[in-house]
Amino acid sequence: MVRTVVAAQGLRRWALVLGLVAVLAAVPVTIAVWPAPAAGVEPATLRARIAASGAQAYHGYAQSTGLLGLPALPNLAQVTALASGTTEMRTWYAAKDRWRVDVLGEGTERDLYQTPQAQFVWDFGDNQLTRIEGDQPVRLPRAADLTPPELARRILTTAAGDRVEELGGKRVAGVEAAGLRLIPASADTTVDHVDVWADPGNGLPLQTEITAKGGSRPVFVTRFLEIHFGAPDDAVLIPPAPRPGIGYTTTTAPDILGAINRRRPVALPAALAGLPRRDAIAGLSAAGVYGTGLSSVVVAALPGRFGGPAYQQIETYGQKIEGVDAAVIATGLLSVLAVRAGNRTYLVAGLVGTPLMQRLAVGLAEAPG
Amino acid sequence: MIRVELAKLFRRPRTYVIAGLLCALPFTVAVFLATTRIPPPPGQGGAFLSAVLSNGTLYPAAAMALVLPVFLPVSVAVLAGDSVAGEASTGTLRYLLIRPVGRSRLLVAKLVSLVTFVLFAIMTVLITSYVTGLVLFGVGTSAAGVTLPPDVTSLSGVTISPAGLVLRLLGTVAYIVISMLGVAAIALFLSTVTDSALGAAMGALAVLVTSQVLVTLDAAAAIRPYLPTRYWLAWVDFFREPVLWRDIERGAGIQLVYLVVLLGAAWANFLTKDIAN
Amino acid sequence: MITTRDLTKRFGRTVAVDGVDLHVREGDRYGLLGPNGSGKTTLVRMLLGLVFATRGEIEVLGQPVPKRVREVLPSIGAMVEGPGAYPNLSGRTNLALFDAAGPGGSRRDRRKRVDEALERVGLAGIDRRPVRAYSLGMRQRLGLAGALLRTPRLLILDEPTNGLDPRGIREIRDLLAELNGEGATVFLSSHLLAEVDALCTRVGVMDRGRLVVQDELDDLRTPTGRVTVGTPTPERALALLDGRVENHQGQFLTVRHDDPGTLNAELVAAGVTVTALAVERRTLEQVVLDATTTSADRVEAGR
Repeated sequence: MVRTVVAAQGLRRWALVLGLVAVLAAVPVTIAVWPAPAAGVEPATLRARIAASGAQAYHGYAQSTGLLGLPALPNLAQVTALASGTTEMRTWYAAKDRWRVDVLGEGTERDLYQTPQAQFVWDFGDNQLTRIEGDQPVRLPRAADLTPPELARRILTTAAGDRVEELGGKRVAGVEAAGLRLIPASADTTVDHVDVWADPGNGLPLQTEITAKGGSRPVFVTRFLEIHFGAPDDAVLIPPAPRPGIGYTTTTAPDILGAINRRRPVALPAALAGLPRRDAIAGLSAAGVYGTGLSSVVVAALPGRFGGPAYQQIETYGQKIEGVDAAVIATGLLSVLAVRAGNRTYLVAGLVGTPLMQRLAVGLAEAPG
Repeated sequence: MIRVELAKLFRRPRTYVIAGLLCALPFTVAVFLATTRIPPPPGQGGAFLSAVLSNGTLYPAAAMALVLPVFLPVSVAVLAGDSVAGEASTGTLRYLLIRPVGRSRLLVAKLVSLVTFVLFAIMTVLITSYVTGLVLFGVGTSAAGVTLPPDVTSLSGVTISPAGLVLRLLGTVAYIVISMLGVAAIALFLSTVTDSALGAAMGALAVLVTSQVLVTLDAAAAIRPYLPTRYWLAWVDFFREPVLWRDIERGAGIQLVYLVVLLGAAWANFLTKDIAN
Repeated sequence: MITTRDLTKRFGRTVAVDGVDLHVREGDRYGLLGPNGSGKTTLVRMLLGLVFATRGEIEVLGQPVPKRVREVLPSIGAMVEGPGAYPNLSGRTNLALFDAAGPGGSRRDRRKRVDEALERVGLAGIDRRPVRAYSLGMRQRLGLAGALLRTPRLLILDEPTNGLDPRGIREIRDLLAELNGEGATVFLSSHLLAEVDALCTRVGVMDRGRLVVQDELDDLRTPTGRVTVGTPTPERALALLDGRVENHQGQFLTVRHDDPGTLNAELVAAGVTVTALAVERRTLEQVVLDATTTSADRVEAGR
């Protein structure tokens, strides 16, 4: 058939539109695959800079994604959501005692303010402002612990004895970051390696990825999508003032673990399954940390009221341990163990495998109540 | 031509019926909330709904959250789907084209008329819901009769001054208009493909529903930032302190990309299309 | 005014218009005849740039179409396949909107233009009723008014008298003749022979997408070689013209004869009184029937 003038015009127009689509689609792809030059920073130097990066002020937008698939545990839903879902955060950081982290939800927000005097939690959904006074010797993990700098520094400090390797550079939130890989030596931990990319100059970690043993993809990633170095505006660090119309409370123990710690002191054994109990901070009695490096575990003793439902939930989703009243949920990275001994329930969590958890279960079942 | 399209828009009873329906939903919700005083549990239900019980001035924002996910896109899809296909089926399209009206100009005029409709509909919803909020919930008087300050609480807890609230609501209106551009462009494109107004509207809605489903699916995370509905609720970020511009910027950008591409496709298709039935 | 060369349009595998060479001259009253489905409407749409040709060239008012159709459309008034109007608006508003949509024509005298157009088509007294409530004939008149808004040099009308009663048809015919007298070229398509016969000076006949006949109406109505003779004494005439009479009905005879003059002389010489004498010419219907094959809407049994 003869190609008419009009048909040719139509083809030209479609070609123009398709070309536009191709260009628009190529933009994000190109940005994603554009290679980042190697920063050329020695891993040991980078590690030292990361450790010292607590003084670096910044503000940005971070996102953490966990693929651990942990069931929602009673009273712990906020914690399990961090491990099994995506958390969007806005952070402003001026100094160690002056920062703010907002956890963003659709149509809601939960903000944590750290001021030199106290911590403040604002929860829009509950219309509640909470002032937290004093130290919290023991508390549950929260979103603010999962910003790339916090998580990377915590892991690198915990695994102080493990070696690091150099890793190729990566562009994170527009920064050409230098990378390092931490490889834990312990056989007990489920962590295969932790990758950290940090600003080569000031050492601020921008992306942290944890890969479990036997996995090819990281199971937990936290990274900045936007980062600005420099002190944030002072106004954003001022928590909302209590006023009529919103709820306001003052507490010293904001979460369940803190509450138990305050009310029900328990004596935990000095060693469990061959792991020595690490020196606890003053005031910490309901929970203890055993072991070293990334293979350390946290043990908490719960009273029956809280412990019973938690044990049942873990028993439902997890796997029973032979010989003792205990069940374990192993997610590949994080394992959670519940042990029932007498009227007390022990909850154990750590980045360790099931074999160690089984030994811990036996140890806890035999521990003096 | 734009003036003619606007005249057609505002002379059609349909325009007012749709705007009235859009206003009716928040009004119904407000009546139930005001009579029962049962706020939705925190984190569930529409955004801001629990907050309006204590302060009616925030009700326009809650009304936006109510109409945006379904009602508004459906009405935009229906109108946009009708814009070319409807003219073709009443036979007026050929008379416009031999007037002559340039085909590109016709498409642009249709789009302008759609944007005007969205603006008109949102402003009506804003005004009616503001009045509803004031009348049914009052300014700062809660159920117990305790007097509260007239300031509105932002998502971040700090108060928003009345001037700030007006600015943020204007930002919201602008953002929602932009959000609807994508829907309008999809339906407008389909409207040039088919002669059935209903088919075009259904096609656009099918795209939107698919997009809404994929947004919530983790397995589709790779394409999520490029879905047309991904940033629809980003206007809520106007009510954070400080305003979170990230999603708003991205949402506007994505909508503009959809607009350019689909309007381009509509243009490529319509300019060489045979007007015959 | 309108010239097409080898104009062809395919829709998928069907050929709607096939190699049409149309020629409409200035001042013509051109009637395009053809049964439904013969491609008339597609041809009209192509002339107006609504449908794009698969092959061939179109020139309207000296400009190539569709390339420069926007330059010539303001001088064309057209009605394509039935009137189109916004049903919820009044006829007056419809015309005002269509007038405002196109270029040219100032805003100030829009009202005047609309009133004049309505007056011409006999709708001067319409009220504010929406078009939805109009009868088919009223809509047809409204469509025509739309075509007349800008005092066009060329009128392209597709089935302009559809839905009108006989009086309405007559009014429209007179209007078109009047406009033609004022200098407008009229090009209309119709499937009604009588309409074209009564109005047009030039005729084209379409059959299955092809233009099979195109000529002056007078040239088409050629003498058939027969003469009709009226006489009070048909028996005598029969006896005289024995063998050449083809038909005999009362006092009228149809005689095969080339020249009515010599026939008259022959009859008068023989003393036959002649009361009427007329050359029989081909009717338009015969022209169409001869040129076309089978009815387009006839469905033959499977072959």
